[in-house]
Amino acid sequence: MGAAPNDNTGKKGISRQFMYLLTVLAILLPLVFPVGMPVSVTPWVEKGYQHVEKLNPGDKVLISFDYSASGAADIHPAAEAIFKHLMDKDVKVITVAFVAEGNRFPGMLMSAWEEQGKVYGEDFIHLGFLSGHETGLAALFADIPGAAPVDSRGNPVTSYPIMDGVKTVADCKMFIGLSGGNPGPQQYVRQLEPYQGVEIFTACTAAIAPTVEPYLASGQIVGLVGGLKGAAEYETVMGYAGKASANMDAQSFAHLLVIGFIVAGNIIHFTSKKNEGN
Amino acid sequence: MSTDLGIWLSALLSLAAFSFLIKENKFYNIAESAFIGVGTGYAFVMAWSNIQSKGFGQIAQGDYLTIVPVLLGLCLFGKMSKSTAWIGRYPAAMLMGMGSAIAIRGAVQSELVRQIAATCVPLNSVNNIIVVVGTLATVSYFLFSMKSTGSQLSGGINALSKLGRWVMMVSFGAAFANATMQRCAQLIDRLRFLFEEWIYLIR
Amino acid sequence: MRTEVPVAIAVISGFIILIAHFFNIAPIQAAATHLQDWGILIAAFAIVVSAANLLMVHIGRLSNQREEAWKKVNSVIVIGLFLATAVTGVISRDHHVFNWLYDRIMLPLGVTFVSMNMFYLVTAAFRAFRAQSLEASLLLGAGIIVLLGNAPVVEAFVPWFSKAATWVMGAPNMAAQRGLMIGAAIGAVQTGLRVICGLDRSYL
Repeated sequence: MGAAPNDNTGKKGISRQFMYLLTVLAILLPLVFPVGMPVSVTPWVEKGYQHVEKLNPGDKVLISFDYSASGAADIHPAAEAIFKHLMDKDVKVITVAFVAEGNRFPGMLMSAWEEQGKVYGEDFIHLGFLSGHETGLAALFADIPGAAPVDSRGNPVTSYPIMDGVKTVADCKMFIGLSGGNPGPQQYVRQLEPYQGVEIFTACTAAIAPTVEPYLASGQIVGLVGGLKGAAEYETVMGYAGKASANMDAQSFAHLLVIGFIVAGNIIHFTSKKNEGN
Repeated sequence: MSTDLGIWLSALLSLAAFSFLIKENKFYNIAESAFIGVGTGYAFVMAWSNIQSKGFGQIAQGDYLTIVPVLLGLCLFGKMSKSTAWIGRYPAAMLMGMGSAIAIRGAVQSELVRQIAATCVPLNSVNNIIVVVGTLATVSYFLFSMKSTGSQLSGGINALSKLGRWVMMVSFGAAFANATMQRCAQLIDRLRFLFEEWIYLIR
Repeated sequence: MRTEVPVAIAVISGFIILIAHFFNIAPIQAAATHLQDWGILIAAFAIVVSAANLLMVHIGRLSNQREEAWKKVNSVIVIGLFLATAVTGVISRDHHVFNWLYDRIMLPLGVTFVSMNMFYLVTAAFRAFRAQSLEASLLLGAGIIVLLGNAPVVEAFVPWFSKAATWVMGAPNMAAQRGLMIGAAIGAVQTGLRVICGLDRSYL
């Protein structure tokens, strides 16, 4: 990264630092003085929720934590909400990570649920990190114990009750991909194509959410939780207000600020052009 | 304010990183170096766990065929020097060949066949018309170009390509909005941490 | 040999994977499964090599007498934190120091670096986003609709923004993304086939 530009004044005397200050205030003030507006639920979040709701106790779900620290603020709230939903339904969860930094997040969730009585090895298991991105995905889906012979705690995966009867991804009812980019929904759909009985549900950063729409429309992915707003919608449909919902006021005002700057910049630009023309 | 050393460290590093907004400085460089050091260490540990469990662990259990990928992996160290870089070509070639095949076998069915099939919808609603025409226009923008000879065909193709550009602009606008939302969420997380867990301004 | 053997390896491994996908021949299926497992291992070695390379660069900086003192300090930080993370992580991936380093350094900084883009976005919104053509207007218009539709404060007063945003994402955006996907898939298949047939040797 090079040095930041020293140009302090924007067009018509609005300095960079003033714009930065407005940005901080637009986010900070709603956090300090929350408004608490309700969050409406979009169709694809609702559909994803319904598909998870149809799972039965004892069904197995494979979740891939493929986001790093840079995507954590966007996706981890969704991961928490979806994990809570699965735990509330006594669904058995097998987790894995194809991004090195993503390996930390299953442990965070599982530690919290172990304190509430869930048992590692029976209710959930973390297979650890597998390198290779799409190659790793292909290897895991074809042979789970073969691709991940030991779990994140260093024990043989076949020694845990949750892995009984799990040979390939076809032994799971659903695959949930939590993605920051690569591997992402494109890779999940490509590698799960031979396993048509496994539903794909994805939560991803807001930036890649637009690229998932074709898979939603074709039915290859059954639901999408896109970014922090999507996580807030999932919390709403589950009936509680968690971390994502608490940040929605700040998100709203930040959006309004960006739009305000776009409109103001265009008005100033076109009026000054008009004046120059005159 | 918090009295936890870890929270103070996180807060000061975050502020050091934010200081880049004013000007690149030594505090920012410290934060950058810390991130690189821990990040590389973390990735190394994860990779090492794979090498232990799937490499040396399998060999110790009698799967001697695993010696082949271990040797190929060690060949990658050849890339660290110009004189031995050629040794690293063998594992790189295997990864490229495999990766290409893995991508192709999935792409044909899931991205071509299924997506083209999903585009074949009856033109009985505005949305369906937009989907079909928009998809055809976008594909024609990338695949077809004809010199404007004044003929109806070249005029039609070029008009369709232009429509494809317009449809893509709408998509890029949606992408811009979503990218803004993601950056916004990250900044909200940082400010919430600084003013809730560090300074206790947010209750 | 230095070119022909790697190309042969790429061709053979690619064809094994493809043939295993289309035909159910037991030895080929077994070979494909082995190859995919080997891919995980080789990719893991690639990460170790990149870490080793980074260490070499920073150790080189420390031993270079002409290097600035401040850059040497940064290199000490990189090497020191790398060793602390690597050693504790190799001892145990549940080591409290290993997790602490991730939670208190890696995670906050990772979020911070990305969040800084928000500030640049805001200044760009004011200085650079101009509706000077139909295409730019379409881009900005769609962006504004999606931003307003994802702001609960706005939804509370004007509910149809949310529906408009959902429509933009689900109709024109979806059509464009599908077109892009089809075009990209054709390109990916073409490039992949060129690699598997040994015609594209850019990886050498």
